[in-house]
Amino acid sequence: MNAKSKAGSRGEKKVYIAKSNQSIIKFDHKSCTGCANLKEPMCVKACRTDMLLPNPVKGKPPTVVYADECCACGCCVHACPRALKGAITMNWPLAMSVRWKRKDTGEHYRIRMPNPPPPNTKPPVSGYYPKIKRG
Amino acid sequence: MGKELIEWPYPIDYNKVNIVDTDVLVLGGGIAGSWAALAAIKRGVKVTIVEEMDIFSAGPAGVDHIVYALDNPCCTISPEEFIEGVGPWQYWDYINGISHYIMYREGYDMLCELEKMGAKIRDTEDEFKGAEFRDDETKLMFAYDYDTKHTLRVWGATFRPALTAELKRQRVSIHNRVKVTSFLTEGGEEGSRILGATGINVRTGEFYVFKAKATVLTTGRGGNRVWDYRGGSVATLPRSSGGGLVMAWNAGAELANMEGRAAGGGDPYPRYGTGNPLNTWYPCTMIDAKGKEIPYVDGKGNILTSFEQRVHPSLLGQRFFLERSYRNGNSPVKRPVSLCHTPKFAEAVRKGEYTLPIYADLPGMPEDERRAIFGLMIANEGMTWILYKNYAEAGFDPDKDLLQAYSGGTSSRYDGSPLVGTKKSGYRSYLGGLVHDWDFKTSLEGLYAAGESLFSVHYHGLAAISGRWAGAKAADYAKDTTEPEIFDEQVEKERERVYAPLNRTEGIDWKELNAGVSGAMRTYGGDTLTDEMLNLALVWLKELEEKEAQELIAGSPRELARCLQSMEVLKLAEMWTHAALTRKASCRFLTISKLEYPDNDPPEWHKFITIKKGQDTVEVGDRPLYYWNKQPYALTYKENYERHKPWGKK
Ligand SMILES: Cc1cc2nc3c(=O)[nH]c(=O)nc-3n(C[C@H](O)[C@H](O)[C@H](O)COP(=O)(O)OP(=O)(O)OC[C@H]3O[C@@H](n4cnc5c(N)ncnc54)[C@H](O)[C@@H]3O)c2cc1C
Ligand code: SF4
Ligand code: SF4
Repeated sequence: MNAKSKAGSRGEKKVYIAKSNQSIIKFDHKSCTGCANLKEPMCVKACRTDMLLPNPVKGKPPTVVYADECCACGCCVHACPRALKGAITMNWPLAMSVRWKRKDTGEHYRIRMPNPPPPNTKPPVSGYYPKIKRG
Repeated sequence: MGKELIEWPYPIDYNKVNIVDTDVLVLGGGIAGSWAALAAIKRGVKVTIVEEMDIFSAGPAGVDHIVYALDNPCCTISPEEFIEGVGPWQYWDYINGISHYIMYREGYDMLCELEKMGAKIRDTEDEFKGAEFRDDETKLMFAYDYDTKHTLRVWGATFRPALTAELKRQRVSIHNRVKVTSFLTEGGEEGSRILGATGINVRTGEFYVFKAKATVLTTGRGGNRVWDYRGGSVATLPRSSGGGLVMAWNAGAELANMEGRAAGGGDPYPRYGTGNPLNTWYPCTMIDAKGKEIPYVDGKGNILTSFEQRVHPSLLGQRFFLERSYRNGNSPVKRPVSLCHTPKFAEAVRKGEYTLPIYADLPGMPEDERRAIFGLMIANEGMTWILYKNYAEAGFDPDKDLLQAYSGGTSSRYDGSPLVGTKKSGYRSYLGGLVHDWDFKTSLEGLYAAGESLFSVHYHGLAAISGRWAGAKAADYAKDTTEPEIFDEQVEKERERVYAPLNRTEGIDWKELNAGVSGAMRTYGGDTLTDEMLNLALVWLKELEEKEAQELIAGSPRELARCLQSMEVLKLAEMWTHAALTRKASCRFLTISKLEYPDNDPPEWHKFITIKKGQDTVEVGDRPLYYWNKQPYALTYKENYERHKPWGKK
């Protein structure tokens, strides 16, 4: 149990919860705006396991709680309007860090490797955010 | 290491009860639920959706291919020809024929409706102009079978946002972050008319009473956590606990195929890699560690000599490819598969013909195929947008790099070819769901269901079309029925139940209970089943229900919701065990292997097993396969479709 409430009885108003010290979700304090202009930060809204909490300080990145329940779906990153600027990243879970091999050189790589090759800057077909156009 | 505590940012009020009145109540706002709500509201009734997450990302975030949209203008095969061509064989017998047939008739129509909402279903920007799998006139793109064109490649990452925007535009009332916990029934009795549901807000802890004239259950299936939860991180998505089915069970609904399960772990996406050559990567060439090509084989095991044969059934003397071969090696293969997904592969590796590990040779593919597989399908699949982004940032380049495959030859995810990690990692319950008629009405008055809450539905398109149809039918029912009279005692009893974990100061957390269920199920409901073992599973589960489930503790609304989920997993395990005990036979399709009854699917057991909760017992029953084309229904798909369809000429 991560949460503690003062009396623990029904109707209790104040609950305290342990901040996760480590998580595969990382915020960049410079480019994350905390979605200060929105009712709820987009990443918080999108989180499928509700493990991101809005920061009580407006304009600051959300706080991660219950980090061990993250299902690594990346919906929080997808939802962030500044994801491509690096405001939020999902570090690939180590146990899922797939490997690949360059066909002509035979070199081996993996996600999260030290000294990684340069990024591939090609976006998906129709871009990272294909337009939603109402007909 | 000391942990920093922060204050829960949402106002908590466990005493507050919100009462919501609606005509049609939709439980679960994923694919089926969104469509149900949209179809219902078009008929002029009041519609409310309840979603445990936020509708914004409910259900899978995307989809890369839509199967069986036979009504698309390029498809050369009719539903009747398709059904006749598939023929009766095991896999098809246990599927949900009603949803499938409607999909054949309306899949493309559904996509066009989605396109009007803003989703992208065709290559409007001409990025694949001239590609073999594209029709240059309609700009539709196809997968698998380039002759009959029954499966579409789509920009599925646009689907969820388009649906969400439309729900808001149509003014569907949406309750996000509310987990539904039980059905309300007439007089509080099991088996009587459904009058709505109860729920709790997973952030504020507030209680909800939803009163509805008609209810549509679209919470999906769940089951990842029955065998595979070990107290670790993953698999805690709302849908994974199967709560909707448990609610239906508690209300006395009839369920079919509950014993059906699939081998494989409970890992949610992103799994290792990005897919496999059975679906997303199809028809990518696979090679071994030394660069030797692993061929594709046809249904008879003949090695295919050209790429063209993988996508043109006509070259193999077949009229059409079936979307997917169900477990090659057990059933007749109706579509080419890579040898790495056949039992022969393990043998070949042992003989030294291939060297592990194996790779997808994306660079060796024709350019447009490569782009379609990686640039389109991976970026649009269920939850794999992040995968594209993270791979690209890590430097993976499909033009140059071979992607290691983590299923097929080197894993246990598919039967038949285990080489490394020979033990199956576990099971997920996979096929069980509500029994329903051609109106998607369940055995309970006032309750409709769609998507994966139905037995044997597991595709995006089937969820969408069944949702659309069920929503329309539920709206018609709601218009014609009386106001619900809520039985207060039932509400009070449910409030007692759901808040109990808050009142304890000592006990166990939800993970411990869930892991306990999984431990029992791995022990007594594992690979080879016996009646004695299954009965012991029931004893175990009953003990857990009476003792440990009564010791659950929660400190926040979120933990409370997790506790309720663990109790659902416990019940789901019990439901599976009852159904598995009832089927006194083995059945490969349902992944049931029984020591005392080794015959695979003998004729006397070639039927659906149904279960429902009785007074103090479980009432078991059965239904013939294809019950939907037997009395009291009409005798053909076509006639039933015409008779029941909720709209004019389609
Ligand atoms: C990674 C991935 C990739 C896939 N790729 C494809 C593909 O390419 N093609 C294809 O055809 N299919 C694909 N599928 C399958 C397809 O996405 C599903 O079949 C479809 O989403 C099922 O729809 P549904 O509405 O029944 O369930 P979901 O879409 O899962 O919706 C159920 C909703 O109910 C909510 N819920 C559950 N319990 C409760 C509760 N107690 N209270 C409130 N809300 C609740 C859940 O949060 C969820 O939002 C894929 C699935 C996944 C996971
Ligand atoms: S990470 Fe992105 S979505 Fe989340 S608060 Fe920061 S800017 Fe908003
Ligand atoms: S990856 Fe998914 S579960 Fe994890 S924080 Fe992001 S949205 Fe939540």
